[in-house]
Amino acid sequence: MTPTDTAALPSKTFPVEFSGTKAGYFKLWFVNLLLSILTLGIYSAWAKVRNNQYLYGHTQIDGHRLNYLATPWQILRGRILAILVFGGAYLLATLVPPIMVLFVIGYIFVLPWAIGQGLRFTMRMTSYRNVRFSFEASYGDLFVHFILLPMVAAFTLYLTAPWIHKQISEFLHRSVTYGGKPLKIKLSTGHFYFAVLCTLFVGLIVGLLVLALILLGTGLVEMSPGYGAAYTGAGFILGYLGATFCSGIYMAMIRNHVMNNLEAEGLASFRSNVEPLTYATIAASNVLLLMLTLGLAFPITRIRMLRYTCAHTRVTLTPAIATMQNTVDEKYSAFGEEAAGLFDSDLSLA
Amino acid sequence: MKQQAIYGHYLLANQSRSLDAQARCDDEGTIWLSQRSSGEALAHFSASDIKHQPLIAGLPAELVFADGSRFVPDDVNHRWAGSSSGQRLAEWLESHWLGVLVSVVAVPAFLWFMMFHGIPRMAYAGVEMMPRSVDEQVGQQSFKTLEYLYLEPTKLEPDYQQRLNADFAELLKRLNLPAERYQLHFYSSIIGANALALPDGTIIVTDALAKLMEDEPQQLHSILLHEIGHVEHRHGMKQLAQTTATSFLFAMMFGDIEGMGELVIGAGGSLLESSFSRDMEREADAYAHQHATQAGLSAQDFADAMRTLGLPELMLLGEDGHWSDYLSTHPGMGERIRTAEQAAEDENAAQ
Ligand SMILES: [Zn+2]
Repeated sequence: MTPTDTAALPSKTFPVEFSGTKAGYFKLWFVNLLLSILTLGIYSAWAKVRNNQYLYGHTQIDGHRLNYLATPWQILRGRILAILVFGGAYLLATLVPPIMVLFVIGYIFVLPWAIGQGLRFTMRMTSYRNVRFSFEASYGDLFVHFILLPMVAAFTLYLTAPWIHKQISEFLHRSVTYGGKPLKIKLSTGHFYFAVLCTLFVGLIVGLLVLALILLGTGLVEMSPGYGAAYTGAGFILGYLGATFCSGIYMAMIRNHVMNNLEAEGLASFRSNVEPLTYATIAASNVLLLMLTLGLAFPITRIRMLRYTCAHTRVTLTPAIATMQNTVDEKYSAFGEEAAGLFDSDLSLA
Repeated sequence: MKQQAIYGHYLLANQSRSLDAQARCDDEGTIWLSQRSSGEALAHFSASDIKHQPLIAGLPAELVFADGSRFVPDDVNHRWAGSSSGQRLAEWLESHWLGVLVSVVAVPAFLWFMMFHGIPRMAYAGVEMMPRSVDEQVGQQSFKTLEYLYLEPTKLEPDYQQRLNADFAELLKRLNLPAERYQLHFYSSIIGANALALPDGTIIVTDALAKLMEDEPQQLHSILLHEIGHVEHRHGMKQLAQTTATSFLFAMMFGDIEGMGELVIGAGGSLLESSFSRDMEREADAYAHQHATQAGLSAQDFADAMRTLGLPELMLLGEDGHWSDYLSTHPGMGERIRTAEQAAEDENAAQ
């Protein structure tokens, strides 16, 4: 088939089917955790690959699964290299303290590159129907979007932050390619400000509720002193849950807006109808679960959120999806991704 | 003889085109692929040209062929005869609660072993191999930081300082320790009545401590003896080595496992550090007791010093830069006094 043949055929809309289960993923995650610990972290490269393979493979669109293609050795090599580079820099900084200044300046310039390499690796290791994604962005663009614009946000007292978030979001998505074709996206600044306003409004209500609970608690504590510390702790937890809930509102609204304005021209378009209140409730209850289980509920929280978001996402594919060519080599170093991980800037799309 | 047909998708190399296909495996392990509807042959690959993809519970066992094409079986439970036993083991462990059960027992046991035996031993052995010149480098660095953050010039009388310096020199002489390894400094500090030992042999006594024990010189000497114990055992370096090894190990073990990282590293790290520090305090106390007679003191002086310190402020004797947090870095005062008095009794019995 050639693209001209397929153009006449109608597009079809598919749900994003997620078949991962809480019990299934919990077992996989936990056993991999054990093996990572027992091997003093060496197995964690295998663990990372297997965790990703589980989550990607259980995501299906039109009967085809996503594939995570990185190999453990690739991850391990990248990680060792990153540790050597960072360890060397750390040692040098300890022995010759003045060099620290140089490293801080260097960090600002290396960070955008590392983020770009990390995203590139993640995208290149993702494939759909045997064709890989990629992330193609120039160093200048990365520097502008990850260093300059965040600085602008700080200088304008974060009044421009929604606009800057929109710029970064557009940049991230239009840099993604599938089969060599970049995605297209057009977002509205107004929508980002609207999402902030909605979040602030919800934040006001949540804040008043938390305050009321804290005041109520103060009354109780006065009657039974000695519980002061527990009470302060509970106040912090409530505040944190409230903040997670509010950020959930914002994230859900932005997710819908981004997905609904994203397309791979002539190939695919997306629909997301996530309910902000439901999304925020899941996010906040996930945080509570993590606190109660000291982090052990992590796989369960992951599945809960993925199930919900996948169930509220649809993809419309044109027949041209079957005519793509892969343009990405198999060989690619994981150094950038591991370096970005050490920089503590694990970014993810959507 | 070819085995039963396995239905699935055949994805062509470097293309998004997918064909409904069936795969048959023969006795040599060669895979024969054909169109599902027409039965028309598509390709075949010998066992050495087949790469079995990792097996994950609930996902089909995909095959990638030498040319980059891929076969995805429809049946998620189908497993090929050619997949390696290692892969099958990983999948088995990940899909049985037994694997989880083993983890629940083995992970804490292993962590406990590493934290209380593995890491301290490695740190100790590592430091023993390091030349003393490294201690001096590190000591001077931390002295500068400490001076900047916590220390003010001393307000002690020059006479008293001189007297203490002379006493300290005498103490070193009696213990047969090289005088050039040690320097005694006095500082006024917000950390209160306290003494600190740095890896390079710098011993800092705060004005508050010196004043508190002005009339009881043997008590101050016994505390100096404890600090000398820290230097002789190279505790500063051991703590540094241990902290570095722990953070590295924890970052390796948990760094990549999302959701666990910060939590475990934070909690485990501080718990471990304080337990390690308590052990070192006991070791320095033991040094002080063992060398008390040689230094012209008695272990009883140390017990008295602990009481003197404990009375005015309910603060534990803290050194090495950190004093009593919620998780104590020092053994309990009562325990330290009891141990010292026991040592004093042993001294008397030996005479
Ligand atoms: Zn001590």
